[in-house]
Amino acid sequence: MKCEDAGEFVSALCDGERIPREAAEHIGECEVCRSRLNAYSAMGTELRRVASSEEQTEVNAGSWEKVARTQLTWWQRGSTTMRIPRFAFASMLGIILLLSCGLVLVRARTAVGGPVFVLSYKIPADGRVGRCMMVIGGKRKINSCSEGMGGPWGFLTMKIRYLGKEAERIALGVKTSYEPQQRPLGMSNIDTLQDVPEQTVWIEPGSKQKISVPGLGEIELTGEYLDRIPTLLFRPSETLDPQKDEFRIASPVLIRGKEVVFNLDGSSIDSGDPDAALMIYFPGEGRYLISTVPFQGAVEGKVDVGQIKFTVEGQDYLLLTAMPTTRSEHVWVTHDPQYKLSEHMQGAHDDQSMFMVRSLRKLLQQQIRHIM
Amino acid sequence: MPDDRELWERICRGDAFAFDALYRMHAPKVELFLRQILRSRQAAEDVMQETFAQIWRSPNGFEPSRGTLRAYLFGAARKRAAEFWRKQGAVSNREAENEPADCKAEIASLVGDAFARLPEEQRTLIWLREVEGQSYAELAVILEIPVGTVRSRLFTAREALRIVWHAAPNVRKEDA
Repeated sequence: MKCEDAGEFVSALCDGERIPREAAEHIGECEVCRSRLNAYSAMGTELRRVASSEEQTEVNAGSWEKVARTQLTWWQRGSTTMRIPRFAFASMLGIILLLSCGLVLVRARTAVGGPVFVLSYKIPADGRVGRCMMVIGGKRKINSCSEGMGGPWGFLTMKIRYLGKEAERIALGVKTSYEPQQRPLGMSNIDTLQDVPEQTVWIEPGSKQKISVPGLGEIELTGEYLDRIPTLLFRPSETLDPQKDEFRIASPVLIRGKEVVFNLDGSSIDSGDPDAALMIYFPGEGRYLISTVPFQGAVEGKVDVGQIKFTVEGQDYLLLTAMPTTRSEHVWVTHDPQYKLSEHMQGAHDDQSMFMVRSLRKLLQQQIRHIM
Repeated sequence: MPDDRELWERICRGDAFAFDALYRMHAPKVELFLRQILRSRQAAEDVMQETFAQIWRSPNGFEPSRGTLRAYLFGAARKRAAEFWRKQGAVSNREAENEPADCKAEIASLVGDAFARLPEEQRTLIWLREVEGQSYAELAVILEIPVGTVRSRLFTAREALRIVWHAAPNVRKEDA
């Protein structure tokens, strides 16, 4: 063993530690290492002598209490008084007042953390954005939603369930099913989700989350809290003006003469189809079809902002909606009182009402297999 | 005398007598140790007091299974000293360098002079080992490093001290 290798063991030996036999033999025979051992020992002795000669602090019983008392806690510090100049005190009051006003304004403007959570999902194939709303506070709770979106790329069905909330984060159970074939009517079938495992996804307002859908890619999820249920869920931040080739309806009320036929909740929209049409089914009333383009057997009606007036079977109708439905000034309407929802939509019941906006062509020609 | 675990449990329950015993037993040595690494009597006293005051206010962090209470105290003091350096920054360093009349006078010897020239970490290690007699295991707890590292760093520190000491003009050859 060489001296440089034995150095660490010399130090350890000085501390009374056990060292390897080979190192011990080397130190015993090597003058340099023995000299180093003596030096280490002498240094230690000298340091201890120096320390012994240093003045140590005298401590008496209870002296630590004075120490502890001098280290005031925050509430103890807060209870003591202080002196500040008058102008500083006045400035402080002014600043507090200004900040308070600002806080009130901010609160009034934003009202964050409301009971309504709107989840947006972006389809990777064409960048389209769908939305689903959950009401997790208040009397009217909506804890889940089922969504469907289709295009040339196929069809995506989603079921989203509210699981819980932690601070601002919200936990959602998400089931997805993707079919590469395009669905003619663009309706989803939640039966396809029965055997699909549910993923738990945490969404934080303002940040993006992704879930992977086999065959389709990654769907981007974002969410935001609203303090109210949006009038138009699909575009909660947009104006009331309908876009070109857009038909939309919210909370429709149909009045025949002086009689209210139905008064429904919800909204539906169709964009990009120049023949967009509204289908409304109500138990005992059958089906109303209202289209922006003429079709066989339909009578012309008139659009006036949020009102659609038409006359069928000799009776005057007024359809009121919560917002303008279309840019078109005219619509064409049919009424089929014999229409049975169960005969056209798999899984549907005749005692349930429903309405949706889709391409007229699809509404007229297809047997609807299922309704969400 | 109660063992570490019993003493600590009593302190955690707010037993002032137990804490008083701890303070009287260790405070002087902790302060002396702090003087070596802070190079200022006043700063050492302040940091020692802060260390004990903090332990009394919120006793936590000591685990008997990991080491002795003495090692825990010196480790806590060392961390406080490090915080002190960070807060004081260059001002205190400069004051320490220009302050030969305080601690440096107290360790006025050839080894003492050489010791004062070592980096803070090496001074800490050598002082705790040679003066306080802390074991390798205790040093490992205080410095939060493995025992094997304690051995190698001690050797490095001693060797550094020996070299500085040898470089002093009055060292007798036979000491080396």
